[in-house]
Amino acid sequence: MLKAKFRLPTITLQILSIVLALFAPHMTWAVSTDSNIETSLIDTPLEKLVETEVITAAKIARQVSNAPSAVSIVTAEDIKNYGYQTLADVIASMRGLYTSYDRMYNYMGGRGFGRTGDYPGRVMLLIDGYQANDNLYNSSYLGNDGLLDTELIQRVEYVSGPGSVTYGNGAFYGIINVVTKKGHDFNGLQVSAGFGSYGANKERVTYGKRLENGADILFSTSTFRNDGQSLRFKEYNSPTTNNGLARNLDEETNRRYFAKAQFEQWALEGGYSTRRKDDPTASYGADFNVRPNWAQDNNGFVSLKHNTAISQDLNASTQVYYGQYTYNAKAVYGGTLWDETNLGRWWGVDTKFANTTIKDHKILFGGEYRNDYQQDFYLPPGSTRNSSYIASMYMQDEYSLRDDINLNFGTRLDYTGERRSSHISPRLAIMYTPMASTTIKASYASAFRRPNAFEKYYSDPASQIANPDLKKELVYATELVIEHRPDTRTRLLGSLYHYDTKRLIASAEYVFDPSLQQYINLRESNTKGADIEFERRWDNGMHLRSSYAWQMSEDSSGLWMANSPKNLAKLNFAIPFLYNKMRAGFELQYTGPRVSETRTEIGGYTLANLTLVSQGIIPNLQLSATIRNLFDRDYSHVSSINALPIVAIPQNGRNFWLQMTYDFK
Amino acid sequence: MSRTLFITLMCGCLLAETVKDASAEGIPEREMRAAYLYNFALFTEWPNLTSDNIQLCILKTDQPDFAAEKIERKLINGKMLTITTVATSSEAKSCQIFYISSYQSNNLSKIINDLADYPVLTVSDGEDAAQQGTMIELFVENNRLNFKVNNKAVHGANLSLSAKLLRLAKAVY
Repeated sequence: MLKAKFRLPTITLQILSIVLALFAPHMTWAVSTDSNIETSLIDTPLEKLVETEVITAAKIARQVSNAPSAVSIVTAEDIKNYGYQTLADVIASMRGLYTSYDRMYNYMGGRGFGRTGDYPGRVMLLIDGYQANDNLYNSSYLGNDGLLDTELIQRVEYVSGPGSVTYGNGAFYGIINVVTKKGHDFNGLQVSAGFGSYGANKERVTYGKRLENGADILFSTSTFRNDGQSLRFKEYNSPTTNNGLARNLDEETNRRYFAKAQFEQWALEGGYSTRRKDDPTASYGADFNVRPNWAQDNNGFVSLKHNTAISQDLNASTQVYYGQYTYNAKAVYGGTLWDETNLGRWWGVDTKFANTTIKDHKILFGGEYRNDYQQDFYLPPGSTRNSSYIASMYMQDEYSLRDDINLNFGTRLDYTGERRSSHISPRLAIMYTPMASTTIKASYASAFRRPNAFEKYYSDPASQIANPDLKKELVYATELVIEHRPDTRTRLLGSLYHYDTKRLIASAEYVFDPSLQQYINLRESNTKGADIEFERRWDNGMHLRSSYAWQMSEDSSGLWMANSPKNLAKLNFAIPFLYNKMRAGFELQYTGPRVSETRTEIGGYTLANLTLVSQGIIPNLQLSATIRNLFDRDYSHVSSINALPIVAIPQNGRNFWLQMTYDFK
Repeated sequence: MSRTLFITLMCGCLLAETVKDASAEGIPEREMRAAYLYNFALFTEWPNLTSDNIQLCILKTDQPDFAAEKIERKLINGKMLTITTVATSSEAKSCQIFYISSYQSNNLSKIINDLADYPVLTVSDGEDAAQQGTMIELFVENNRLNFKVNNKAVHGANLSLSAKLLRLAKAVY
């Protein structure tokens, strides 16, 4: 099993609790008793007030999107406090969600989805409004293959449930909405360097500024390397396959570029990332422990947005974007080298209007055209070239029926130019606020996802056969959410939901040759679940969030779906100490037992992560240390069918990350 | 598993109880917000204001975060500032100031419509509230509380703000 390259003496949770409790005295030093100073603020001239510093009150972040579902929010402060390095880390901390890593990609799961190896993930990733999923696999790239360094993220909002009413194709089970920081959040040059277990290191340089004329600019670049480990897989425990040891086949490197500029009503943004990763699992039947076996994912985009107020009652926003994705992989099959290069390119334009002319109504409407003009697979046996487009129209109304009742209803029409290819995605929601602190939301929505180019056209033809007849899959969801906020610092949230998925696209044995796989429309699956979350922030920076989620997912034959834990629990706790110059962020994540693709039960596990951050002890320097899997828990993630015979993929033991960040001010 | 979670939760809650809010340099945001509301009342001119009070109203279903106790019953040019809770925004037509917290962003357009032709100074701390038609928007930037003014909306309601207020605003639409 995997072990970190360094070891700590065995600690138990109880001891850690005591250590945490020891912070309490430090805290009391920081407590001041001067709350009874009677400053007569109302006698202070306004000129003075605008220059006086305020202590900003702790607040639970408000959701940006007005989606009527239960939304999870992680802020830049949380990212710092808990040492999140990837979007997968961020998502793993959210209520009812979990991530799996198959040593190539990170997959997210929750509310009835989450098969490992399922590249689409069925979740849409939006970066400042740009749809970042590629057009070959629909992946959202949540690990080191992602477009963004987490240090550039202002907030991440996860909106669970079908989002096709707003975003059309692919906003199937949820939307990850990432908002990046602005240049003035950095206000100068920032340099960061970090290193960690398994020979990992990372460097980043970021420059951001708001110029005299009001323009805001940001540039950032980073590079990451990880030597990785020599991993052992018991399924390959035979002398012909090096007794199951994949020696030095876990290396990962990436490089990222990101830039954005905002001036008056214009916003220009672009990013590029390239990541190469060795595959120790010899997936798709490659020769085990044989080099080369790697894949490289390159993602890039440019987007230009313009916002304008046409009149007092009418706002318009237009976005034009271009994106591209290339995939390159090399592996050896039966002694023969396989070299594959796939290329996807797309562009699109989206115009939205918001109108408030009619009393009590806020009407959003618009149209989008997206052209996936290149979706090509260049494989040794031959190439396939494909393209597609979608034209869409949508309209939504937010209707304030009464001061305490809001209705939200809308629909989107997507047309794809193929036979029987129009699709209507509706949503209907009612929000009731019986008292200031409590909101009840009930919603019904449906979404669709077209089969992606990989599912429809890819043919090796030694392991996968194309299926041009593949149909779109559909989901229908109902959800009830109760949110209670006794004050601006506290939130209690509960939700109940039911999802019905029809014609779920999944890979299965090819009818005419069981040694091959083909993507088909399975009949259906359904999920029901409930979750509850408590969150509180204190003015001194202390933060507590805990959640529990129960879910049950079954396929059409009543079988418990693979990699779908029934129980998930999370705890996040951050506390400042040493006069606010240090912070400790502690995280516990419990994932219940799941079944593998071969119906073997894989045990549940509890992970603990601890991060210490020091800020301001040395001016402009931030030091951060994270220990992941603090108690060195031995655990595995469910593998995909592509990785068979490997059933479960061992994960990292205790590992650390140290990082220093310096601001040139 | 449940035991470890329970213990950690307990520790967290115990700690939370023992720790009081740390006080740093500066004025608490909610007190500053109250001081601003006081100043807005001071530097706004209402047409034909006959009552002896200046009524600051908030919605029953709202949770505005300002130190009401610091400004309630204070005198402004001889009139007393009072704070009143109303059930719906249309009941606020007789108020002088209507304060809308960021929690009401979904209802903002309805509230503004309801009060459109009445001499009620609308103030909100919701994002982009001024652009959406609120007369004054409060926001925090660089650890300072600042404000923007939608002067079109102010004039539309027959109100007028003093030159000083307009000069100190970060933006005037």
